[in-house]
Amino acid sequence: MKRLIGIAGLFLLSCGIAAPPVMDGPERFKITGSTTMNRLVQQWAFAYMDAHPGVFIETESGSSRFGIESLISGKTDIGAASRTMLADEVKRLLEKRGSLGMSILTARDALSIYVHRENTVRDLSIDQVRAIFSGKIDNWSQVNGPQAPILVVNRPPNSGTRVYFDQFVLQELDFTPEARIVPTSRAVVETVARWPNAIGYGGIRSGEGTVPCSINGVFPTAATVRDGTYPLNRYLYFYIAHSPRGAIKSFVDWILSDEGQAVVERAGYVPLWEPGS
Amino acid sequence: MPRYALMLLQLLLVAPCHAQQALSPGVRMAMESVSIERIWSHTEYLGNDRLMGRAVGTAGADTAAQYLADQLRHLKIRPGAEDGSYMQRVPLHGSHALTGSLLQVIVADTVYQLELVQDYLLYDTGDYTIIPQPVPIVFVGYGIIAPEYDYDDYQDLQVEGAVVVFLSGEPYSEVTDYFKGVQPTIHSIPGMKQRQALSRGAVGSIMIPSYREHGGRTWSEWRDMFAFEHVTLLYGEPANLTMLVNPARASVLFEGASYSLSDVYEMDLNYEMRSFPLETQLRFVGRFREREFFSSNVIGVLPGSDPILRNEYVIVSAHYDHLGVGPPVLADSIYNGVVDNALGCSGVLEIARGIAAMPEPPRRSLVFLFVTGEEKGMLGSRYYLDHPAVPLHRTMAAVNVDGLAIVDTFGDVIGVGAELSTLGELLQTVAGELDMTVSQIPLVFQGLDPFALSDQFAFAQAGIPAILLMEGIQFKNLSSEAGIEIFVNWGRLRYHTPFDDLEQPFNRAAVRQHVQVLLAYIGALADTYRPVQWVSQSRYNVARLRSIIESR
Repeated sequence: MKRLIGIAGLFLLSCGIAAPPVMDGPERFKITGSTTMNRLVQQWAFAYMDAHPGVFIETESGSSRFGIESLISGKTDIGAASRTMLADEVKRLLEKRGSLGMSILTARDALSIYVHRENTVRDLSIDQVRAIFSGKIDNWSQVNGPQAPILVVNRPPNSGTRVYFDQFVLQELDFTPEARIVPTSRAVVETVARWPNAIGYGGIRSGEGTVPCSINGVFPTAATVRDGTYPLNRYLYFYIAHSPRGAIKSFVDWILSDEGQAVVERAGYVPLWEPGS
Repeated sequence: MPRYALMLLQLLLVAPCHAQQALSPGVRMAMESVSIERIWSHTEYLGNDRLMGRAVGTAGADTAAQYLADQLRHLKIRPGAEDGSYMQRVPLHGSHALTGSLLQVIVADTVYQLELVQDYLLYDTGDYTIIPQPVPIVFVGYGIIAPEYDYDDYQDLQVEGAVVVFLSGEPYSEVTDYFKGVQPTIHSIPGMKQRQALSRGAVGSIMIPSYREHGGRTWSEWRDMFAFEHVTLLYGEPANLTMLVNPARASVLFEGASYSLSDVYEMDLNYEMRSFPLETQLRFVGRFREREFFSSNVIGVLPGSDPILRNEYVIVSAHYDHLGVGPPVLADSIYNGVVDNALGCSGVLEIARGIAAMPEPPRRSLVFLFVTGEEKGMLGSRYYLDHPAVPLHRTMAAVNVDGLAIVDTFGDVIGVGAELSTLGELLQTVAGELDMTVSQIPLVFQGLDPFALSDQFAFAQAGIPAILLMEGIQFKNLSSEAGIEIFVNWGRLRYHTPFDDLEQPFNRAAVRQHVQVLLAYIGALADTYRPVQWVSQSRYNVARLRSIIESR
C-alpha cells in the first residue's frame, strides 16, 4: 500500500501538484535536484519502490542548484546534480549541517549538442561549439551549413548542465547574450525541434525532432562516453549530508549495483559499467 | 537464560583458569605446525613479476584475489561475501591526469604556464578540480587551524573562492605541549590541510614542500610517488583542486607579493610564519582519463566453537594490493610489494590453515579478510566496513597484518594501537606465555603515527578495537640499534620501490616466528571470555557505541 502512495506522490509531483502528506518513517526519503537527472531519478525511484515495498521515495525536480540548496537547508535527503558541488556550497553545507557531505557517482552522461533534424551540420569541433555558444560564430554558413543565423538555446544560470557547459566548453568565454533561455532540458529539445536554425545542449538522449552532432568526429554513445573518446562527458551525482544509513544507504547501494545501473541504461543514460560485466 | 547472564556465568566459572592460560593446547599445536615453506610458496606466487605488482584494477590484482579465494576454499573456510562467494565486489573510480592539462598562473598581464609532472603534481584528479576562470591566490602559512594550540593560519583572511597556498609541515616546536614538540601532529598531514581549505570555501589548495619538513626529497622522488592512478570509492567527501608545486617553480606564485618564497622559507626557519594575500591568479583546466571498475575483497569465515561466542567475530585482515607498474628504477618497473604485503597475506593464509586444522576451533568466529585498495587509501577496508559480512557491533576486534619480520628473530613484540584498547592487556598476557616482552614503538618511528598508516585505522574509525602486531627490537642476533638501522634503510631503499621484491634478504626463521606469534594472539583473542573494549578516553568509543545502538 505504501508503495502505491509513493507512486501516486511521484505522479502528483511531476504534475506540479503538492504530494499528499505521507506518514513519517525511517523508510521514507526525498530526492531533489537536476532536471537532466529527473527521468533517471524517477525511474530509479519507481524500480526501487517496486522491488522494496514499504519504501517511499519522493522526487522533486528543479535544478542542480535547487537540489544542493535543498540539501544544505535540510529540505531534502539527497541532492541530485549534474555538476560537482561548488566550494561555497560545501562550506555552507558544513556550516548548516555540520558535515562536508558525501558525493556519490551515480551514472555518466554525455553533453550532447542538438541541432534540428533538417540541419545539414552534423559534426562540430569543440572550438566551433565554443564559438557558436559565445556568439563568435553566428551563422550556420561559417560551419559549412546553410546561410542562416544561428539561434542559440541556453539554460538558466541555476542549471547544472549550463555550469558544466560553461566550465568545460566555454571556459574563459561568456555565453552569447543573444541566446534564448529556456528552463529545462526538455524545453531545450522542444525549442531546437521547433526552430530549424536552433542549436542547444543537454543529456545524451536527444528528443524527437532533434539530432545530436558528433564532436571532433565522435558521436556520443555509451561506449564513446565511457572510454572518453567523446570529449563532452560528465558524471551525474547524488549528494548526501552525512554517511547514509538505513533506507537511503540501501537505495544508494542498489543504485551502485548491476540492477541500479541497468535502470541507467534503460533510462537512456550511460551506466558506470556495463551491467552484468 | 538471557545471553549476557549466561556469558557472565561462563566468565565466573571459566575465567580464573583461562586467566592463567590464554593459549589453549590447540593453539599451541597450531603454532608448532606453522610452515615457512608454505608461507614462502604463497609469497612466491603473490610477489612474482607475473602479477605485475597487484595494482588495484589490474589483472594481476584479480589473479591474486582469485588465488587467495582458492586457498580459502582449499582450507574449507566458508565463503563470506553476500552472494555466497569469497569475493566482495568493490566498485571503484580511477582517474589519471593527462599532460594536456592546462595550469596558468597570471600576474598582471603576464601568464605563466606550468607543466604537469615537471612543475606540479595532482593529489586529486577529476571534474571537481576544474577552475576555468582565474581566481585569486592566498598564502596561508602552513594552512593549519589548531585551536588547542591557539593557532590559526586563516585568521583575518578571506579565502572563499580563492586557491590557498601553504607550506608543508607545521610550526617548529621543541616543547611537547606545543604541536607535540619534534613529533608531527595530525595538522601536518596534507589531507587535513586540504580539508581545512575546502571547509573554508577555497576552490583549491597548493602545497609547497619545505626543506625542514621533507629534507632532501627531490622533485623526481615526489614525481615517482604521484605516478600511479588515482583511485577512490564511488562515494566519498567532496573534494577540490589539490596539488603540489615544485619548489623550483613555486616562486612564480609569489610574484608581486609583499614577501617572496625565499622570505617564506626564512619565516619557516625563524618561527615567524605569517599569512598574506598574493597578487597572482590561477586557472586550471585539467584533462583526465577516467574509468569505473571492480576490485574484490576476499572474505572467508571460520565459525567459532562456542554456542554463544561464535556469534562474535574477530577479523584477521591483510591487504593484497600493491602499487603495480610504475616509474622504472634501475630498469625495474614492477613494484612487487613482497613485504608490503604479499608476505602478510601469506602469513594470514598460514594462520587460517593452522586454526582451521585445530581439533576444535576457537570460541569466537574468525573472519579472514584480504582487502583491496589499501595503497589507495584503505578503500577495501572502508568498503567492507560500509558493507560488512558480519555485523560490526558483533565484531569484537580486528588484527591487521601488514608486513612480517624479515630481519631477525626477536624476543619482544610491539602492538601498534595496543594502548588504545584492552587488546594491549591481552598482548601482555600472550607475550608472557610465549616468554616474550612487549615494547613500545621506537621513538624514531613514533612521529609517523603508525596506527593511522594501514587498515587497522579504518577498523578503529568504525569503532572496532584494532591492532597491528609487529616484531620488537630485542633481536636474537643483532643489537637493537643495528636492527633499527636496517628498518630505516629498508624504508629508504625498498619501501614502495621495485626492490621490495623476492630478491631481497629474508630471515625465514623471523618470518615463521612472527606468524606463530600472530597465530597465538589471534587464537587467544578468539578464545578469551574477556570482552574487548576501547579504553574509556579513546576517541573511537563513540563510533563503537553508535554501531551498537544502531545494531550495525
